[in-house]
Amino acid sequence: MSLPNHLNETFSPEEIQFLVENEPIRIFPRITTRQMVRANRQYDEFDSNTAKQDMKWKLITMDDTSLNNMVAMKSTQVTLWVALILKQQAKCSIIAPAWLTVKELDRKIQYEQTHLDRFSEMPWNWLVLAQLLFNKAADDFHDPVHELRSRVQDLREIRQSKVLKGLQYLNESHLQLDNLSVLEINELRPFIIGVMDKLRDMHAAAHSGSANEDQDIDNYGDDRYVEAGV
Amino acid sequence: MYGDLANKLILEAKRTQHLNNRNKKCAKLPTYQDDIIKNILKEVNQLKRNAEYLKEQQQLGNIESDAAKCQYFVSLLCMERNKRCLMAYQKLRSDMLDSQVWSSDGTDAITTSGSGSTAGQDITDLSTHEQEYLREYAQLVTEMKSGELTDIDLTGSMVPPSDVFIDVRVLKDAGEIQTEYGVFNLLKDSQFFVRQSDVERLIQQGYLQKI
Amino acid sequence: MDIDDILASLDHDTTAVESLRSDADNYNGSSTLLYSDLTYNDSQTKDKQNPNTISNSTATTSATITTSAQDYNNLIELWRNERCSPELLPYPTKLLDRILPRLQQQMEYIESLSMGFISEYSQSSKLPLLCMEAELERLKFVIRSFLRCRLKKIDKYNFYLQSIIASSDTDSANLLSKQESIYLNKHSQILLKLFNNSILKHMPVDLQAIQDTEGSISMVDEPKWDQFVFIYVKDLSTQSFMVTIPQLNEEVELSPGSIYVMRYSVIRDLLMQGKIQLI
Repeated sequence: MSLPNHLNETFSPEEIQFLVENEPIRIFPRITTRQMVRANRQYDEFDSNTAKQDMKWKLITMDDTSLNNMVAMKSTQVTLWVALILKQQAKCSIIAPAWLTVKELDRKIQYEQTHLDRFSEMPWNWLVLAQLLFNKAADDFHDPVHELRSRVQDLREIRQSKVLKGLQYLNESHLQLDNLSVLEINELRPFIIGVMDKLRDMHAAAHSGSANEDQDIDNYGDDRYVEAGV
Repeated sequence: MYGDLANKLILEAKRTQHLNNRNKKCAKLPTYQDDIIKNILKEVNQLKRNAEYLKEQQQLGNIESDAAKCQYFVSLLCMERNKRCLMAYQKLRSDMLDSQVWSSDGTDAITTSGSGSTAGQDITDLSTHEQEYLREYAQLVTEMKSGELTDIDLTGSMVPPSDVFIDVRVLKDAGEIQTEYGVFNLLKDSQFFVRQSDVERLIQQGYLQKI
Repeated sequence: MDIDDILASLDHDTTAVESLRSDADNYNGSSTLLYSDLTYNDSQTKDKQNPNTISNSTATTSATITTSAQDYNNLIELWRNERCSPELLPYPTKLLDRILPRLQQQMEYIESLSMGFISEYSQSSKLPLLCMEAELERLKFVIRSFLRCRLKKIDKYNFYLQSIIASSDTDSANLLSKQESIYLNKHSQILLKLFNNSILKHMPVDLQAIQDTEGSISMVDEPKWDQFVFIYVKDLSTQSFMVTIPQLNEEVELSPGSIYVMRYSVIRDLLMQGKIQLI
């Protein structure tokens, strides 16, 4: 088969990271790329043999305007994977998103603990983004990274245990899972799809004979959601 | 009993599939079960003759109808089942051959030597028809790669690119290497920023270390 | 957020909306960029621009550049949809007709930069080149993964696909690219030859058909229409969608910005209209 089996109807962790890397993030550049266009053009014409000019950023999957207009220490927004290359070259520092601070994470953890029936509102890429930044831009955080790490881990575990509790409500109809992140979804996917597919088959088999549904089954339809929306 | 051989074939296929699933890289195919397949085909034709005989006798009114009908029906079902098993076996094998073509860049899928090779499929484990199929499919994939999709490199890696460029530290002197970004003189303990694909080899050989 | 930054980003008017939106940090599907109206009915393919203008350097209008970003985001979305859906989705002809030439031009451009011209540039400014190369690898990966996922489904459903292509002329017309239909035909042909030679021709005449739907079990695989999939209802408007699960006689309201696990058959129409995406 042209697609390896382990990629069947799911994504690898590397692919999830790839998706997240396509997202924008704010940085403080340490270089200036903004050029005075007209002056530069004249410069080119007369002096092109001697002058070393700066290369333009010309990208085909994103708007490269911000990359061509970087001013040192003036914050701007770029795509994450570009930011990571700049960071690797010590050409920028990455501005951690507002939720990725000890204070904010504590607030989220508290929310998770007080609202047992729902998930706190987190960006769709929170887990992967946090891990990426911890690994590749640890020195850009104001808070100590080990404290951030442990809070992210706590948050992840609280949410995981909620998901596990919610699994008992899996049914043959549908499920609503708001505020779950892309990584959390990908991890749950095989189990949830597997169980719901089975429940659907069982339901179909049980009801193929008789049309009149049991009253009990109708009733339990009301609390069958893992209601996680805010 | 009718169907036993087909069962054996399917169990064999199941085992192959299991090995294949456990192995992330595509597995090699075990020997083609020529004898079992020939015997199943024989069985099918035997069943066919039985069925025809029963039908004939029934039409002549020589046999009690209920038992004969049942026997006739069972014969048909056995034939059908045998066919399904044979097809499933062959389909699994052709699917695995397809995977080999895709993962091996379409070139070295076939090792012609009779001895077991680690690189690709031992061709003597394939039936002659499978060998022919493998050649033709490799050809088809090569055709797919050309044309407007040449740039994409269809048989390339299915792992997303990460760290196209990496920092490396030189562990032991390796002399000069030439890349698109100029010449690097790899002196021990020096550090470079290079394209990962350019130095993959040197990392494996222990000259360089990814930082 | 710095007021200066907001003002600065307003300078490049087309990007302003994007950056403000993305700062909201909401769950926003696969991307925080604004989607062009992405549907499978070819309306995503309003061809506003000539791909050739892309490489014409610095003076290109920002509208063009935004579109190439949108094209990429659409491609990512289609890639995710294709990976998650049980059936083969229509081939995005026009989208790839824009992206593929752009990719090729970029490869040529990079090559021209790294061949000799590179000494023209100062050492520090090789950085853009690094990123351009990295970008190229990323784009190639997505296209490759997308196309190979499609080929896998083409193989899996080859006889089914042939039968629907043969039977209808409207729905299946834009299902496959030209190259994909060649692949479908050739692969089926050599597969059929293999099955014939090793099994079918040794069978009794009435059991020789490969597309055997007559027996007690159909031997032609169809997509599992009722398979459960994860969907994200796009945030395009505040309007919810009502869907019906016929087997349960049940109605479900899908609200924008939410994630659900649903039977594929139930949400298929919404997917084709680009109202939801698979995740």
